[in-house]
Amino acid sequence: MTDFIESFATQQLLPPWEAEKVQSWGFVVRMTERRIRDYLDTYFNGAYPDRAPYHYTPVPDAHFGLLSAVHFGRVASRNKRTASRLGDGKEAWDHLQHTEVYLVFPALRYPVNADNLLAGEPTLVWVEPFIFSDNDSVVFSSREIWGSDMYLGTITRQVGLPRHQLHLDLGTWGTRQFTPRSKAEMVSVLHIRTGGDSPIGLGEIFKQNPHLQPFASILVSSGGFAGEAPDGVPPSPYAGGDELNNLKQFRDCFDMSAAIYRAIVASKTTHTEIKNINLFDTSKVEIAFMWSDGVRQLLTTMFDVEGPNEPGPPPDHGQAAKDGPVTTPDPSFVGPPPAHFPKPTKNTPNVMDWQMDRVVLKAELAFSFRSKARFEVAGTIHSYGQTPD
Amino acid sequence: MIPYTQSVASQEVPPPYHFPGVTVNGFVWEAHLDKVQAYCDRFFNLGDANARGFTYAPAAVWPYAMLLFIDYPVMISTSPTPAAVLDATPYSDRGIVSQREVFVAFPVIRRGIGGARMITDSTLEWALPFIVVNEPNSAVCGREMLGMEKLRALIQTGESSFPGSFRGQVNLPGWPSLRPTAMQQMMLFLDVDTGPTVPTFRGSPDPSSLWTLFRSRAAGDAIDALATTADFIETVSGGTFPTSMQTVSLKQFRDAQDPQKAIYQALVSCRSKYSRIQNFQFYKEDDVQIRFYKRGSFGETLRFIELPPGNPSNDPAVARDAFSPMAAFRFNANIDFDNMRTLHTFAIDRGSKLPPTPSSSDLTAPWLRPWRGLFGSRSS
Repeated sequence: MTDFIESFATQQLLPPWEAEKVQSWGFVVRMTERRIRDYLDTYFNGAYPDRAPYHYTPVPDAHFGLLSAVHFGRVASRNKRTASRLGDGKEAWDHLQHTEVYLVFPALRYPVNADNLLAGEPTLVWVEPFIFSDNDSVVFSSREIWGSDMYLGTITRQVGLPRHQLHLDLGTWGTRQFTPRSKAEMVSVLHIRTGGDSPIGLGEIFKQNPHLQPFASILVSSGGFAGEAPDGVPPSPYAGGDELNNLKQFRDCFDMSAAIYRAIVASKTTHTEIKNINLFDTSKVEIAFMWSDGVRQLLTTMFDVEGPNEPGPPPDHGQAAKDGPVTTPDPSFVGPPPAHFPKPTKNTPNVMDWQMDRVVLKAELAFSFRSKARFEVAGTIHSYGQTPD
Repeated sequence: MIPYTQSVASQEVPPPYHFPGVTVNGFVWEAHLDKVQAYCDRFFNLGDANARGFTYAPAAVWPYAMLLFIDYPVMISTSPTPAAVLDATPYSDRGIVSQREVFVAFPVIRRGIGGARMITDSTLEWALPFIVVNEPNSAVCGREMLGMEKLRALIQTGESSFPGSFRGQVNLPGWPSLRPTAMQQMMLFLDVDTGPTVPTFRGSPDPSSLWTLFRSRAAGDAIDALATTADFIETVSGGTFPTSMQTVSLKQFRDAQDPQKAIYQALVSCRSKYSRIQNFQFYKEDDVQIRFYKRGSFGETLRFIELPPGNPSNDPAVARDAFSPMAAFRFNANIDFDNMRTLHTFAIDRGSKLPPTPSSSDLTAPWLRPWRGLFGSRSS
């Protein structure tokens, strides 16, 4: 195969990679069958111009998404090439840390035969409509290598909370309101806050919320949640469950509606040494997406909402909304070297614009755990427009 | 054609762009042609020369490298809205973006190989061995659409000690050492400090300075007048700055499972056209100090950029001596970023299970393209 030409700008986090000190928070939220199906049809099931030998459908009775925040305390590539380019013989380099926020939902991937008919039993896979990270290297690697639809965000977590409790805010560079004279700024996208642990166990939660059981079966069987299945949660009826399918695509430089490459990439993230599993009291969990013009289409498409359902920002950020985003003023004068420019304003939620209404989502189930994680690419399962002769 | 599905999460604004009221600070030093040739061979001259049909080489007539700090107060997209998002607000109506960009450029000559191609396919383009931007969506667009090796950086600019001077710094994520356990962190990579623009109270410029060409008031007025009324700045700036930069970049992407292999490689070109150039001023070169910090993983960044010998620095953190450029200037202008096209797609060996993708070319030089469009086929 043709060699990739390495340069300083492609010092990327090459897969496989492993992470230590991983803290995950998961929030199960409702999605709709219609929106899941529309997403799958738009991204995976069309003719581009050829059809993939797969057909993706929503999972019956499991129309939920898993909104997650994960902090990776120490990530290192285990790709042999990463080490060999340094000549030290070791297999770990590119150590970094980052936090990511993403949404995944389960889908069934059916094999399709030459007559375009479903031809076999489905495999359960996960699909990730969006993901944000606060690390540039991770964003470039995820987008360019395994095709994640990842964007750079400012992600802040409040310190001083009780252990495993979370107050997270996500902002990204965008526009609050589309007008020709609007100026891009750091707009808030998401606010999550937990308010205490669940007074009841997992078995009791599922007993009280039987509609969650099909999704819980998938979640537990996927290995991304906990070890043994809790009482009352039957095993998943589907094969698979540990694979994420991404649409990896790149635009043509001249025709922005054309892709020079389009493929479906399968990857796996495996959590090991899972510990400190906690369940949160869902009645005290706040999940609020901020309704800006830049994020509006994402919210409509993912959560089937037509507009904000609560006025103004979350109470935590009411004052920040009134004050406006804190920015680092441009210096009018900087002395000669070694004088340096003032350090940029530290990332806090107050660097984001909160002057927006919000879409509040109900958490159906909320949990956290600590683990180690390993990410690897399983393969490119279909490349469009490149069928064998 | 393979359709691109516009992501609902995307905040990207695709080119072309119009940038009014841009401030440019530029610094020129002598390039080492062997390093430029090495860059061309590594990133542009892939595969067999005859099969490829062209060769890139240094432009010996202008053997200089140029460092530009560009402050874009307003970026307006002039991109047509893709069909996939036609029900959404057009890009041009979504608002503006401000950004800062820093890059090093050197000119390269593309020569067509054999017969008529020597004439029709030969042209001058600019290679960008280093480019950073502070706006994340610009970095993503630059990398994925145009193949530029754009990294995101903290870029800070301001005035240095003297009125009318310039100070600029670039901080990049990097690894402070090449030890396997080194953690990534933000590190200072580039620091530029100038004196005031000439004429200056700090003594006369060197007699060999470009400034001496323009030190008369009449000449200064002529620069402004000519530059404002026509795009003659390329002439009046003594060739230190071109009004139209046609860049060339290697656009490539890794295979997901085997990231040492490529699934796509192509040379992509785009144009930055400067107009309404005003306030063209020179800095006294001896008053300019440029420092590239070479520590840790930054050593790789400077692999193809030969820096002039410098003066010892008093800054203990400096890992590279400071040097003064051959010319330093600043000006204001409007910039149009357009004319994106794929010059040459390299054949890709996709392994034993799939046939290789063929190469294709659209190499006709810009000056010949209107004539070719009139008289000949558009594909080669």
